[in-house]
Amino acid sequence: MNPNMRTHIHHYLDGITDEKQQRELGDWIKQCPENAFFFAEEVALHNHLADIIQAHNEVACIAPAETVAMKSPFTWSRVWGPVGLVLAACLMLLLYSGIPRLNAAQEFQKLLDGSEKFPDRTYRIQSLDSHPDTPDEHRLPLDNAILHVRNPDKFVLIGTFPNGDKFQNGSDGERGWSIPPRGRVQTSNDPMRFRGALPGHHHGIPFVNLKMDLIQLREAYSIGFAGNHPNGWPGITLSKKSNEYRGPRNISIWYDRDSGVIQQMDFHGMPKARGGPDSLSVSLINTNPLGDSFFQHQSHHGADRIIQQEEFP
Amino acid sequence: MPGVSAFITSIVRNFEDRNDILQDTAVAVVESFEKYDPAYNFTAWAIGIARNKIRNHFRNKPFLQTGFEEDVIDAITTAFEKTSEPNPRLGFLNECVERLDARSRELCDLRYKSDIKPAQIGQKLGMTANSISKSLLRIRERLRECINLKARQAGLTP
Repeated sequence: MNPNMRTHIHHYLDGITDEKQQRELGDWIKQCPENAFFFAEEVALHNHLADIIQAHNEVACIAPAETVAMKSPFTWSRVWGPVGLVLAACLMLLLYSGIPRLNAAQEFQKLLDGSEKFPDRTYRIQSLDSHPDTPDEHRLPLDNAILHVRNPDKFVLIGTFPNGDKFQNGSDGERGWSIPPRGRVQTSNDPMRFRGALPGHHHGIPFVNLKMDLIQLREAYSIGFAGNHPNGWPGITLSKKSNEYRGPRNISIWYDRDSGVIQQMDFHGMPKARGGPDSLSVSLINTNPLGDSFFQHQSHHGADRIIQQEEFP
Repeated sequence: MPGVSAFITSIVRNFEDRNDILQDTAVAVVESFEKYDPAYNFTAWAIGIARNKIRNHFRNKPFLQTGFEEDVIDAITTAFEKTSEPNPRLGFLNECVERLDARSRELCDLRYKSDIKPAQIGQKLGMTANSISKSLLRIRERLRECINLKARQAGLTP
């Protein structure tokens, strides 16, 4: 299988092939039946994935299902039954809980506005567990790790072992990279390749692309007011609406009253499938500009380290 | 008709257009069912109808481009006709989608629920179209690996 053709197929499905790629793909498809079968299989997965995602959203949200109903006269009776139920349930929710939530939601909007004020942010991550995990040399230690982020997709996460060794993962937006204390430095053309070390990466916890992550939280959590932080910052709490969402059970966010910039986030009931802390706190240290080269791996290791490059098609 | 739906996607790509054509095809299949010869592969017959509907669709919307010449579409049609049985491996896809991380799921929602292309997703998220495209490719590859693994565990032969 020519890896270029696999890329061409995916580009074609996403509507981003140029004329030359399209011609090459067409020539390849008609070259032999096996190529056409391979193409058909890739399309089948893409097509079925679209059906699954759209079906998930029809259950979770009114609008897409309503659209389907309008476009599918012969399936009205099949579609309107569940849609009616969802509409009724949503109306009940709005009637019974919409008004008290409005102010908290407005405060949440302030966080969204504040999320774009400083592109570069530096946080300290601390475990709130009474018995934090013992550091493992193959995993980036999270307790007391420092996280530098730049909207929307650059980050450097630096964990320090008790002996002072550092484990660093990051992304410059184009390439992901990982620098263990010893051995090869790994880089990848998948910019998200090494984000797994970020706490909650798998669960939509707001760090790197703060605005998008906050929007996601707003949909999956009920928003309420928290008491003021000892530093005087106002706070909001988020409680997970459903266990179907795999994020932490509760989140508290404290922010600057005037700017809306988040100062501290505490996460409780973190999913434990991949180990890591049950509760952790992320505090803003500063919003100093970090410089473009800061997010490149070369800025974080000596020139003598061997670099292993991973290239996905 | 998953095979017919995938066939339409292979030519038109836009999911809204796919749904319209699939609906027209379904109506035509019902209306002309008495002409169907049971000795013939049903999905292949329906794909033939879908191909005509696709032609009509592009005739009515000349600003749309299929991108492929007729001989390429012939090869694609043959491939779908011969693989008209639903692939049992795809039955594991839902389970694999459930296991996607939040970021991948967000990208899938934008691409498949909102039906928007990488360049627009990139604008929305402040990322390059190239980076979005690579991420989508990786997500689909991970899903392919996941369904293959589950198929092996379930004893399905390749």
